[in-house]
Amino acid sequence: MSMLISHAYPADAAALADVRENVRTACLEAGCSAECAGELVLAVNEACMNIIQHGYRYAAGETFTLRLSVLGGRMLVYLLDNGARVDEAALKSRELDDLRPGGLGVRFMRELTDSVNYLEAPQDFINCLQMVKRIY
Amino acid sequence: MHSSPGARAAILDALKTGRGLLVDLSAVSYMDSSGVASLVEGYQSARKLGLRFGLVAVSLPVMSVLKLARLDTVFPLHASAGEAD
Repeated sequence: MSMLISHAYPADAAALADVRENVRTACLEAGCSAECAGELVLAVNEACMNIIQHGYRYAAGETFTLRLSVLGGRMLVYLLDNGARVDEAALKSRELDDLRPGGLGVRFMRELTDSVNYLEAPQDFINCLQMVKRIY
Repeated sequence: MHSSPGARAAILDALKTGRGLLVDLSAVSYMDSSGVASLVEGYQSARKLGLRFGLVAVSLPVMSVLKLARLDTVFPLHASAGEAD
């Protein structure tokens, strides 16, 4: 496994441009097409937004850690945070026929990656989100 | 997410004038679900008020997000403001 990113970012919307740029660059260097990279960038962005919005409720001074690696033709994303514990069963991915604002983030994450799972978090973290995407 | 609150407020404020709204997205190269939510809210508000609401000059990256949300057939789309008239 080759680690491409392991970095703590401020849990602030202003930091998301850096996250996107770093993920896009790493994906392209790992052999992703521009389309594949763009999809993973959006999925990671949505996951980070959830941490900021729902995990930390916009609290100042918090951070999350992004780890991005490549293994066997797949991009592996881990997002680690100490926000409110995520109840995976309660994660809502709304039906697209239901036209209303909100609720699209989880849907995007699931549609743009091959798997989205919450794993047991390593020491010093509360939540560990894993997303896997096949490189194409 | 960073600019969506401002965009949402601008859209809803514009609709308060009682006139239809065309949102020019020509300078928008990236949009996430919070941006989509702002557009959906604007669209719904306009419909409740009986006002026109459309998107102008949608870039390919933004269009791909609208398609992902299956909204590309919901919003009226126009290549330019002139075309929308």
